[in-house]
Amino acid sequence: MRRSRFNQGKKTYKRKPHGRRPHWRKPHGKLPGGKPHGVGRPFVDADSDHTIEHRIAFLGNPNVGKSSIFNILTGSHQHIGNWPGKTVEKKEGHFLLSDEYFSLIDLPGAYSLSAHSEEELITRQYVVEERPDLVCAIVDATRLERTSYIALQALELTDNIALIVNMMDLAEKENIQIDRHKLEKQLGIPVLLVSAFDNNCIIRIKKFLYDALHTEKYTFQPAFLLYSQKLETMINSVSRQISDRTVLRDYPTRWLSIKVLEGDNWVISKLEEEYVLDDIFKKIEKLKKSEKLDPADEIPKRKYKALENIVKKSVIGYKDFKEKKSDKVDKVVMHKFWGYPILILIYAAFFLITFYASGPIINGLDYLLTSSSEIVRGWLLAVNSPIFLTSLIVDGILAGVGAVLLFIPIIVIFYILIAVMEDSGYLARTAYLMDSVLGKFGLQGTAFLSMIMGLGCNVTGIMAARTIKSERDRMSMILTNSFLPCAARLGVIAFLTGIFFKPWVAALLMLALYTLSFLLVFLSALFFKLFLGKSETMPLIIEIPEYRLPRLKNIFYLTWERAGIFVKKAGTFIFIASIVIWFMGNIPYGVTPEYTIAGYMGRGLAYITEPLFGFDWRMVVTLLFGIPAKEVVISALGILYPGVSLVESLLAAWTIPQAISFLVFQLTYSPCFATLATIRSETKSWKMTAVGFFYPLIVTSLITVAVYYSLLPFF
Amino acid sequence: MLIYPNFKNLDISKNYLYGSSKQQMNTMNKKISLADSTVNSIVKVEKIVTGEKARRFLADLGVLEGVKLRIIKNDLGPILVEIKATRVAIGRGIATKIEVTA
Ligand SMILES: Nc1nc2c(ncn2[C@@H]2O[C@H](COP(=O)(O)OP(=O)(O)OP(=O)(O)O)[C@@H](O)[C@H]2O)c(=O)[nH]1
Ligand SMILES: [Mg+2]
Repeated sequence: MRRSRFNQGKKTYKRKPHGRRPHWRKPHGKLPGGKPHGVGRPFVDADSDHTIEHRIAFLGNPNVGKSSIFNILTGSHQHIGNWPGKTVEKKEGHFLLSDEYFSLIDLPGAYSLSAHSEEELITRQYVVEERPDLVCAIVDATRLERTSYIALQALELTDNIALIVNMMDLAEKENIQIDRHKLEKQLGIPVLLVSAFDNNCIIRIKKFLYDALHTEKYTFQPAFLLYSQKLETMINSVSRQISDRTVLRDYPTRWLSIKVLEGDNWVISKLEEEYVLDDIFKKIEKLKKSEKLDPADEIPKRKYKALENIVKKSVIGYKDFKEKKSDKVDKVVMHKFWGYPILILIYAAFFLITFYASGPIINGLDYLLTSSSEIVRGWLLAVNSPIFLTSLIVDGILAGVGAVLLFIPIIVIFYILIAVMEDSGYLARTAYLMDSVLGKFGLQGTAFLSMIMGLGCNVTGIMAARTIKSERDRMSMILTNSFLPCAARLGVIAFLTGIFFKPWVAALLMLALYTLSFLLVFLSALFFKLFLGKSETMPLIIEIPEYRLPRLKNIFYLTWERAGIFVKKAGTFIFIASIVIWFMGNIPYGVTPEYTIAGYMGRGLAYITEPLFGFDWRMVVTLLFGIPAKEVVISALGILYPGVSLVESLLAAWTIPQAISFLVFQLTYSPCFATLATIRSETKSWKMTAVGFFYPLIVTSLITVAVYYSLLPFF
Repeated sequence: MLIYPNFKNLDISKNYLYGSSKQQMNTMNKKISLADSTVNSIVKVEKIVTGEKARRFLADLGVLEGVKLRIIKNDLGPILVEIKATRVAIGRGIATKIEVTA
């Protein structure tokens, strides 16, 4: 790579083509239409004068630390945790270095660049069609051979590639030494050894990326992987046939030929638009029969062989099959018998900690809010503000927004616990353990990951369903994710159970509610199986990461990002909702609440809900307002049950069966609008979105009726 | 810069499939399915007869014919193996379709 020409006057930025370039890349250089190969991106006129934009794409296996590096470089807070498959969408960020603009693209983790899954297709299309100036493959130093496979594949796809070997701190602990120069020499690309936890890593990585794009310090002469003679003959004959193609011109010919031999459906179907590839397939068949050589096996085998050689030459101290501490812990944690009690214990502890720890905080906040609203009321009265306005501010906004603030401690504690579980590596284990349980319902262990994420927020849960390989399971997880109470509903549950029951009863009730939720998801999976038809079941294959000590920083940001959404919502959406609810509950002004707009609405609905679920008009209105966003349930309660303290008012207003019935109904009744939007965008079907809304509503209604009537005789 | 394949080991799978003389001496090396392998043993993958999709995915993870695995856990549920320093859980269903020798 040559130094960039950077002339002050001319606003062009040219990168010289590489010194030695494999022959097959040449034809692409001068294509009409697409950007010529090797020419950098044009200037971007940002605030500062001449800013060059470099686009750098991060690719690599799941869980090698792509997002960690992305975050420290760009200052963003993408999802980081110790389980494979967190990043599901490509994310962009940037940093500036000596007046140049570096756009980074964090791609979803993928095991290869074949088209087996969505992530892989996204990654390779990005690399080829968007042509980043640099593709940066990130690998794990402790598993160099395994994680470099995708880098070797990328090497066939593009020339502008660099390698970052992450997690050097762990490698050092295991006494693995990596010779950077040897690695560079063999692969022919720049290599950086780094640990995302190092203090000076930011500047090292930035400098590395800068150098890789600018100076002659690094030579880009990516290694050219040769296969066995038979394969090379095959590759050449396919290449010859497709070299004049008009489709897929952005992709290197040799790479396409390799993919055809590997049986890549996406490539083959594209090429078949133009060519009849039958004789190629015949040749492959012949090869399979006569030589017992299947290119689809042989090609990855060769790649791994090459990697083995590279690693052998450049890594000292790596020992195969070393028993690690992780394995010892797993002997107990993943034990066929003990694993399950431990799992239940951990999850139960999870909710109990949330519940008990948040009690005192809530009481304190409640006291603070009640007294502060009294102060505000007194102050407003003192300045002679109209009663109407005083009521709006104190009984509407303060009560509504304050009620939501009340359960932010619950959310924060809950998110901290989820983050600890994610970053320690236990989450991936639960997916493993749950595989046998979920198997009974026709689901895979990986579906459990999306369920747990759904406990934080259904939107995240639905997004996480992308990692589910079977299309039917994925659909079923998307449609039923809202059965799982998200953190907002956890707030409502913890709050209400805490008011009506003794702590231990409340805790038990909470566990029962969560069990109900999970059961609903499981049974619905069985149910949907009848409708969604058969889909190819992909058996479970999942990587189990090693345990790591959770990092305070990761936990902080995970919690901060997630809980931050609630705080922001309290300030915006909830604020407006509170005003709307107050108006509906107070217009016409001065009449008794039953004759306000909300009163009429509620009483109308209560004709149905009172006999079915025991919901009086206030409860119905509350639930109605809760449809767009679940936090509003608490706000609405705060506004519709005015009084000195919400706790006292509710205790006076509801009977125990009513309270339980309300809890069950709000647990699962309908997804919030954000979730609905996600269902729509993930399924791309309005029909499915409608199912996603009405199915939970109907199921919940049935269950609530059953619960209410079975409780009535006892109270 | 070229990475030459190691031609010496070119037909590694072929050798094992037909069994070279050295292999035949070792009658201990009976083929079993991965699902029947014993914990903590190191096994070698001989043949993968799963569906195409699973086979590709396994290949991406490095589970190929001729590769060695360490069995970490094999009792109930998926089988946990170590492959090139990575722990991978493989569903029991496909594990029965992977032939290994101890
Ligand atoms: N010890 C150590 N841990 C690291 C390092 N870099 C990342 N990690 C940890 O590795 C785990 C995975 O990191 P992520 O950045 O989320 O990985 P990713 O590649 O983005 O993963 P996906 O988005 O799932 O593909 C997290 O628990 C990180 O804290 C490192 O240099 N050293
Ligand atoms: Mg990531």
